[in-house]
Amino acid sequence: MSDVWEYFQKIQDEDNTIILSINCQLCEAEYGVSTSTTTLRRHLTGVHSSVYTSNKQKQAPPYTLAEQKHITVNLAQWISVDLQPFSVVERVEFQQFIHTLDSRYTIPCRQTIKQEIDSLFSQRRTNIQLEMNSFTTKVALTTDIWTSSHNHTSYLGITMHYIDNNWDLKKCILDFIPIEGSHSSRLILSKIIDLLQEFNLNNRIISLTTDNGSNMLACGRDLANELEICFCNLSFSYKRCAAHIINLAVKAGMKHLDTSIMKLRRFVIKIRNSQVLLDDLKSICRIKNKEFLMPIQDVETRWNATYQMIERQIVMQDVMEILVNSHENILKSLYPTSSEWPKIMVYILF
Amino acid sequence: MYKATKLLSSSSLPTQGDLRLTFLGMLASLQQYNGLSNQHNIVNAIYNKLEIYWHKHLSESSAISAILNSHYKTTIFNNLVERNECIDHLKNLFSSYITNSHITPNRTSEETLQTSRNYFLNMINRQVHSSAENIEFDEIDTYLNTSNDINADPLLW
Repeated sequence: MSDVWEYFQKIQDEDNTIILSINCQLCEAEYGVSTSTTTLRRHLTGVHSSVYTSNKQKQAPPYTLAEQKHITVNLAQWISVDLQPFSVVERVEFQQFIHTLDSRYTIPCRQTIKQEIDSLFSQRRTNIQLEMNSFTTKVALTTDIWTSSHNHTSYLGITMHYIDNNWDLKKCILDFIPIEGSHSSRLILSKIIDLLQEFNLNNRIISLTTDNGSNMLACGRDLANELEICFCNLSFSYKRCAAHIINLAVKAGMKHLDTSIMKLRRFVIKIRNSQVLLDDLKSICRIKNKEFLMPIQDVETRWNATYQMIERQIVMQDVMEILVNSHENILKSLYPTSSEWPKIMVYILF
Repeated sequence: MYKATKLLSSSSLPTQGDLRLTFLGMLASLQQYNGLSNQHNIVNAIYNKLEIYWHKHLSESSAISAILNSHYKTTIFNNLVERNECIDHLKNLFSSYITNSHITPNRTSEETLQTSRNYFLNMINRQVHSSAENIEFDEIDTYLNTSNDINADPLLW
């Protein structure tokens, strides 16, 4: 960022959306929004030469290319780890913040940041390959498909677990592959085989763990055949995720749920969907000097959600009863009765 | 079920031993509830599902790893027959590893000289295989006969 911005201010409209003019903070001289920094610097050297040149002499010399690069790498790491948009470097507030901390650093543009992150990714991938080549132990992989709610893209995440030369158990994300189209076993298999070849793991993989989805099961079976036929890897075995099996068992039991649980679920949905009820619940919590905890609604795909829904209701039972009494017409019929609560309590014993 | 899910999902390094512990614990706990609870349908449904997966996909594949975990060793088995079968299988596996690789069993320094003599004697007498097996089984038996240590690092035996 140019040093002239220490002396000039961008004047914006009331909504802070449009820049109206650029004003000198020393003499209030006004310039158009498209005025170049060269013109602004000429103003400073011509009109305020004593202030500008003496301040400029005090300034430390700019960073060398290596120093500048070192800071940019750290900036790129923060942007990638914190999931910031590349355009954050072009935000005026961010630029001012960095300039306040260190006026010697020139913030790169978003294209440079993108290149830097690509470079970091390649470098990290190479490091993993080098590390894998430095020892000969077996590796175990886990994989799952996850769909981002942000860009509605599906990703195949593959994590590697291994024991290094120091006998320390290690794990790292091996890849995070965008998946387009149907999540077929053939597609998943091809992605995994490509990855195994890239990292030269065909003879070193001992297991693949996935959920119990039919596509994953088929992929595991086909991978075992492929490794045996093409790479004589007979030690590979396909594993099913144990936590997912517990979830399947719980879901099998949930088919026999008592109606009292369904009633509690409707009660929770009613409260969560009403801002008035939520505000009243918060007020009751304040009066009772109790921490407000949002009612939890169970979701089929979220593990432990029914347990958590019941547990949360038990914790909040005293304030919930006050809420029910103050909104009898809406909530009385939805709230479990004293004879239904013992049936609900049975579920948290499991 | 909640505790089991939390244990397996939140642990940074869950082992096959942890898996056996939680699954056998859940099955035992559900059997206990089946007699007490008035929710037989739910208990039965969960138990049956877990039991199917346990016998079909988990029990056999987790046994050897669980024995080699110094936290549990042979404590997490349903019965003696299954346990002894797994120990025999482990010994066979260990033998084949020793035969097919350069791995040597741990020996104390006092034993080293004696072992070297044995080695040459065995070379002469062509009895390398049987002698090596004894050393291997000694190591497994020593491991199994020492008490479990829940605080030990399973990778440091």
